[in-house]
Amino acid sequence: MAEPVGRDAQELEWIRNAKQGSHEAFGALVERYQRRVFSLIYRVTGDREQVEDLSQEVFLKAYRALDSYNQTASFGTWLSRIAINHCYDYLRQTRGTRGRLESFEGESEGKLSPADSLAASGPDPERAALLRDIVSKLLRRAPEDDRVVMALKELDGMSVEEISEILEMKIGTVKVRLHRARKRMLEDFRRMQAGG
Amino acid sequence: MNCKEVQDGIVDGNMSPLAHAHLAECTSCQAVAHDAEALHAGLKLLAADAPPEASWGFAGRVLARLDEKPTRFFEPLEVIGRRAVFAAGALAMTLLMLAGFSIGGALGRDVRESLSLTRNGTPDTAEVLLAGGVDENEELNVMSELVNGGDPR
Repeated sequence: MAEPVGRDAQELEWIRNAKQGSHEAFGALVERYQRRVFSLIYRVTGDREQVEDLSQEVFLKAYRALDSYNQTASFGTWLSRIAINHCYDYLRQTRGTRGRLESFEGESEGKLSPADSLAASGPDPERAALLRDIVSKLLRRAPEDDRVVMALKELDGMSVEEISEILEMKIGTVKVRLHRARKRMLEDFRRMQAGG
Repeated sequence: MNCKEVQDGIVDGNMSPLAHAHLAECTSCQAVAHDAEALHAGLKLLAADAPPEASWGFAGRVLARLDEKPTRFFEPLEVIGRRAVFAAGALAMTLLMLAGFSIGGALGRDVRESLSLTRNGTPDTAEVLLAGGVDENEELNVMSELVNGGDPR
């Protein structure tokens, strides 16, 4: 997702006033960035039910940390970092539950053969839904680092540069992480189709 | 190019002409490319899902919580969990120590009493044995006496 140009005078004034305790100014920032935070959290956690609660927590954390915002990054990037860190916390907290719920063991009806899998991306909505479901489960089962970088790149559509800024990593590191995450996911996908 | 290099390119969607040439000849890499394409299609389907929108009054609900005392995620459960574990651990330790003292005391008393009775009113043997005041052969003899009812072999 492209960074909105938000460092305008109005936004800087909201930030300044919010730092001095103005709820109204912070409310304006919430209104401006809520869509972005919802999207990030949904992409990373994949948990539609929890998005609103998690987003609230993110904005509360941001408000409490406003004094540490020094404008070296845009407010949107800074807020996205808080959102991603909060997603990490949530994913770690729910790791055990996800592992159990998302296990493929004994699941046969959802299997796609390698020959079927491409066809599933075609016009047949039933098979497309099946493929979507399988990939969603693969993402849920993936290690947190893989999942975050995959969600930002493949689902949210961010560039490697944007991801490197949000995750505060070098571009090369992001590329390596993306490569490893894709590779592991493809291996999982193939293993699952092979019945493992 | 080998299969690993080609498959690395497939994973990143970054194929050189040489990799394409390898792919045209290699059924193993073709299978990987096929699945990678399916996985990519699945990711595109997921990306097409619209994220949920904030419900009406979301910002207001955030503002209403701004003055709340900060708590960590799941903190109440964590605190309860930690306290329960500490309490259970402390209780278990106390019970073990009490059980250890009473069993140890009872055993010591029983051993002394039984040794005294077996030696037919000569508690000095038992006391010597417990005190470790005999050498190994003597100790074996005493034990034999005790086991065989005072009839050493």
